[in-house]
Amino acid sequence: MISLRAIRLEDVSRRFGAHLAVRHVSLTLRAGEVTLLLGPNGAGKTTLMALLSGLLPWTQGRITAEAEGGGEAAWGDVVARTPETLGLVSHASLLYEDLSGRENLTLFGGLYGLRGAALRERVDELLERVALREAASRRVTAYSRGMRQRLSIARAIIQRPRVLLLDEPYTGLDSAGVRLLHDLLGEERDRGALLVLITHQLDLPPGLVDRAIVMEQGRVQADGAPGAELASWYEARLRGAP
Amino acid sequence: MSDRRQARATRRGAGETGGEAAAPRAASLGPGLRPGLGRQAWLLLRMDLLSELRTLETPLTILFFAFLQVVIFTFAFWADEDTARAVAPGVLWVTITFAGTLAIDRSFAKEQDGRTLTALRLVPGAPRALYLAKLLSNLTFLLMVVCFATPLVIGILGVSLEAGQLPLLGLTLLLGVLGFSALGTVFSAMLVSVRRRGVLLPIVLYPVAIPLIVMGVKATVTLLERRPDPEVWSWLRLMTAIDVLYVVAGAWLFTSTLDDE
Repeated sequence: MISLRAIRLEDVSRRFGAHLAVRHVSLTLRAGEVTLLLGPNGAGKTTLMALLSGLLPWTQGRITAEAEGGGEAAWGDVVARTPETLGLVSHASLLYEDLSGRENLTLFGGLYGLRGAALRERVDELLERVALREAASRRVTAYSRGMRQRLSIARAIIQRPRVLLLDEPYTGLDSAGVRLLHDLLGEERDRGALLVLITHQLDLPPGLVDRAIVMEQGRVQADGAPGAELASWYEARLRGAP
Repeated sequence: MSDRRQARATRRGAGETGGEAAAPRAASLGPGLRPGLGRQAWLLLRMDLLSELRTLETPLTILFFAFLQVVIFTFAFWADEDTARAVAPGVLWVTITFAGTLAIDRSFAKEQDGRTLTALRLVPGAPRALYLAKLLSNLTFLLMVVCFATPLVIGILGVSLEAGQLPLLGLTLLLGVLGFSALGTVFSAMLVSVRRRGVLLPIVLYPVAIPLIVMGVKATVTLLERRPDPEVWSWLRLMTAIDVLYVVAGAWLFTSTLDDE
């Protein structure tokens, strides 16, 4: 299994035709940290996440993975060789609608190589964790938006990924679901995973996020510790203040 | 470098510009869980068939469509018994092709509904397993059409068939639908994000599938006219060669197609 210490982006850009969606981004994301990606619509957050997931190639720069022992590898190589490193919660549910919650988790767990009792235990554990045990045998089509989101989060972590990318994971979640998500994020961080969270929600509980990065027009505008100061600065930016 | 080409390059691990090769120390970031291709394909196939069994959407649609075609062709071509027997192989193969296209068109509907292709691309080995699973799933539906339409055509058009001819007829039909499923699986994946894929699928699929279908028709005619077995076998050998080509090329094209999605 990968012992990832950090992902380093150096001068990374992504172009769509004439539009530069991500511009010369350089930063280091560390394992055991929750990094919050903020920014108005069209700031390049989702594109940056797609680059990190390996689903989209970058057009300039380099992304490297640093291993615990000090080794280093091209991030594209790590993703291609060991895609189970990544867990992804995206705008879409990434679930099979005609299958039940349990069947979805069993399928993805099985595809990642879990089987037998280990697979059943992991599926039960996650269904319990995301409070879907009672709805486990219902088809996803019968799930509410929030239930789908919780199942989607469970699917993303079934293989215990080292990198968890969450794009707007709060969509559809009620207050209990939000609390559950915060607990899960904390647990994954404590496990040593590297987490990147995109959200427009600023009232996050203290201590949940280790670092906040603000993007605008594809560039990193601010990078630092989260807190009231950053939140008020960001809100002022959104209102159009200089 | 085009986006698509670079997407493939990135998935292979050489995504960085400047031609940086994978660092030799990448081995330290070794693989974790590694399930086998067979097991992954079985899991995906089971999921596919389970979903279909619940809704029965595809099986009922294709079988009803096959029935309608046989009825329409019977009325259209019935002049006398000799004519009916002469057109029977063509009617059978056209029915299988058209009804099969309906099933193939639905191949990736489930993946599209929840955009699960994105999740599957993150699972090691899953694209290749998905090809195998979808190929087998399409093959299952086409064999359903074969099992339904063959006795119907033989019965309605009054084709006389001896028991000894059945294994060869079965083999002919199997080889035909295998190659057709392989082609259909790839083209269906290529068109997965195209809005009017239902219209486009036959347009791109049939020209490539025609040689195989023509061979299938020829083999069936030869068989029903009770010509010597070696004549039938010469067609079957050609069909086998084409099947191998379609299945192998399909596996390669399919993974490239998914990378481009």
